[in-house]
Amino acid sequence: MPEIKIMIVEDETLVADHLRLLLEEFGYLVCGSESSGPKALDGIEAERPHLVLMDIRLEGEMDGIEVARRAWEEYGIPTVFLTAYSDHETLDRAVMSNPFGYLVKPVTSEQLKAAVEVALHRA
Amino acid sequence: MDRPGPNGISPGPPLSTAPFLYLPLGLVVLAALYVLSRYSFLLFHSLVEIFSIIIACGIFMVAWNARRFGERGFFLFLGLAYLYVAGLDLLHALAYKGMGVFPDQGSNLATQLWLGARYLEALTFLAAPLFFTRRTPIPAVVTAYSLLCAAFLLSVFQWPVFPVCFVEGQGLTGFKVASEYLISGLLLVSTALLIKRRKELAQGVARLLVWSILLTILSEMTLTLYTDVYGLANLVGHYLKLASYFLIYKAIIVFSLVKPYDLLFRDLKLSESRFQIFMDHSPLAAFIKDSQGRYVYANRRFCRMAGLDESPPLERTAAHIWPAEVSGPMVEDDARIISQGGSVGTLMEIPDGDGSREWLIYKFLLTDPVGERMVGGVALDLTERKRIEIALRASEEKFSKAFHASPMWVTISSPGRDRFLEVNDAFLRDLGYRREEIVGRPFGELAIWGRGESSSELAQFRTDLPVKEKEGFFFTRNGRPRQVLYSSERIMVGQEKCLLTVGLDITDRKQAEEQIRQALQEKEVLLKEIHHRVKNNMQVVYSLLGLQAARVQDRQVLAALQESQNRVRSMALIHESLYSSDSLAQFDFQAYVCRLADSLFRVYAPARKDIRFSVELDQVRLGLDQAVSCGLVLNELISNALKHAFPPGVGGELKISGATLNGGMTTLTIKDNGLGMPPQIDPRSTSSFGLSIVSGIVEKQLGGRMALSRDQGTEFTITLDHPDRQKER
Repeated sequence: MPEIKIMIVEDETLVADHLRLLLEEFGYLVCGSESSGPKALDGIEAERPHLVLMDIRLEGEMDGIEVARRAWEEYGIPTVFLTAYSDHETLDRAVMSNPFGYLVKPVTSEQLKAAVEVALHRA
Repeated sequence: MDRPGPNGISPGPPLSTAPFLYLPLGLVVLAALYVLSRYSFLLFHSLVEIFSIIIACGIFMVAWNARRFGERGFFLFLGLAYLYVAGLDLLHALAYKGMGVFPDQGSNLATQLWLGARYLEALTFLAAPLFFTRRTPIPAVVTAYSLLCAAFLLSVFQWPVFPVCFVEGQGLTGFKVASEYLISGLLLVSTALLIKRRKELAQGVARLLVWSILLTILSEMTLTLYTDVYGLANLVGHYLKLASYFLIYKAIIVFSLVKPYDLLFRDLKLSESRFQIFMDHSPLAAFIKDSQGRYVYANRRFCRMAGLDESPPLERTAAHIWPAEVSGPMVEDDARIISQGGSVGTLMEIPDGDGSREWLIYKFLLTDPVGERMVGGVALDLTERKRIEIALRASEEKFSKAFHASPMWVTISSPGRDRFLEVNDAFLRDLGYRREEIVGRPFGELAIWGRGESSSELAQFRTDLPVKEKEGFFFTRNGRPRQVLYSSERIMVGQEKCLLTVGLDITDRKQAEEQIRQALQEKEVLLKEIHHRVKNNMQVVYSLLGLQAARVQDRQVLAALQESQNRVRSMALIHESLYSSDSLAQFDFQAYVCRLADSLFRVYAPARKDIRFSVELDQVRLGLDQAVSCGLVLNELISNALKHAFPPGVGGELKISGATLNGGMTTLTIKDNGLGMPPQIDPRSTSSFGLSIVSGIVEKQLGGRMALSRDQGTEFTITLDHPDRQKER
């Protein structure tokens, strides 16, 4: 089975490191960890990951929902959102971008594993 | 009408005493006449006839002279007719056998004349009822009777064609007898007519007339029997005629003179009674004073006005009734009217009991039938009307003050005339107009509607439909919109359907509400940001613990780090539930516990299908502080149960239930039917960090109580007071 590449887009370094640790424990290759929208799009273009684990709130103007939309539209790469927001408005916006999963912080390793597997299976 | 009239006329003594006087007198007269007839029948006859002629002439004279007093012509007709009857009777008396006035004629002439007179009398009674209710056409009656009498006399004396009535030596002819029967028949018909219409005559008159006619009939019957004009039948017949005439005398002459009130003046009295009733029921006081200022007439209302009960102040003057300050101006007015004529209307305060009443007195000159100048007057009590006027004025003044002083908009508009009739100061002040720029101008010319003809407010003011608490926009002189909450009701102003509208300018209130709404929205955004930060930080802490755990080899340390991660997550779940809840103070505790348990099952018993889990917490109501603390307590107790109560191969049930009672006390029960907590473990003094967290939070932080039961598993019961009482501790 070819190695599955996942990109992490998260502006909190500690959280990104923890996610990387968990994903690697699950056997995935974390091909990058970016903290802003433009950097994330650059990374996606360069690495062409199988899945992006995306925080909604990022550094800079562009938020995770916009990055996810473009990743899907421009590269056909699915996204699992990861956010501390759980209000209806944010959820609705996220749903509009056709996500492959949605995790509310703090996320347990079990939740992360299940969400990534489901997303990869759907994609 | 038993009360004496003001003219002093009284009905006179009753007539019922008359028979006691007339009966013996009549008998004496009859006896005297009988004696006379024995002496000379001719004398007897002449006296009887003269008597009847006098009565007939008397009837004529009374009726003729009283003719102007009555509308009805019955007695005048009788009077005129009896004059002709008297003429024929006179001729009859003169032609009587032995009188020698008509020497060539025998008894036949007198009998023919008698018959003619009776025919005329019978026809008169027959026709008389025609004149009960109508005037007598005097020329027509005179002409008709003159022609009748002339024709009769010519038929007797000139031509002579009148049938023979008496044949000397034989007695009465068949014609005479048949005529008497015919006359009697006519008289009977007259009697019936008279009885039928007796109510149209004064009481007693009809009865006497009927008796008189009946006696005439009896007389006629008697006079069909004689063969000798000096015989007994003739005597009795004349007696009956005498009696008959006597009754007519009674009916016409006596009643006309003694009881004119009931007969000739009957109509006058009725008219006066009507006048009296009218005046006494009038709400106007009325009076007449002579030139000396003495009252000669006053109605009841005037008597009450003067405080005199119902006795007219006749022969007294105003000065006798009222004090000088009241009577003085009256006397002056009277003098002016008497001397100068014309009329005077004055408003006067007239004393009445302890107070006074206001009267409008209108006086005018009268001249009575004898030429004396008098003062007539009517007065109207205006006190009540004035009181109502004052009350009305006060009410209008109150309304006007309220209208203009109201801080709310008040307008009166006429949909029919398409304009405001009045607007108050608040309306003008808020919209920045002067009254003349609004009132009286067509709605379409006003700029207050903003969108002109399409304004829904303009449409509302143009209907007469009431409206309740409608919000609308009106525009100031400067074009700034004012939001107004207004209600309209229909009112009548005079005869005009109008709309009374009360409005409240809510522009400032609406702006304040909008500011509050925006502030609230900003606060919500801020709160959302805080929640995000908190949860993000929890994720950071959670990740920190996870990264630390990745570098630790010791199993106990690893477990401790994992438990710490669970505690962070349980607190984060509280925040998430709160954040998703509509109310910050209340949230769905049952849903929270379900998510918490689900998360802990994934950590400690991911593949344990043999452990059933149930939650019944939908009746639990907790405040924010209580919920966060209880979340931590449940995190520890569920974790403990999953870790220790059900070792591999030992399944069972974990049940969490609870309720908040009306008083605010909450009970939570965490029960498992697993191995049960070893008896040596005391939650309050245990070395277990988790259980020490539980007892510390429940008893110290929440001020609640915790009970432990080890019967068939482990059961923790936590009891918490109402949050307010908890704070008091």
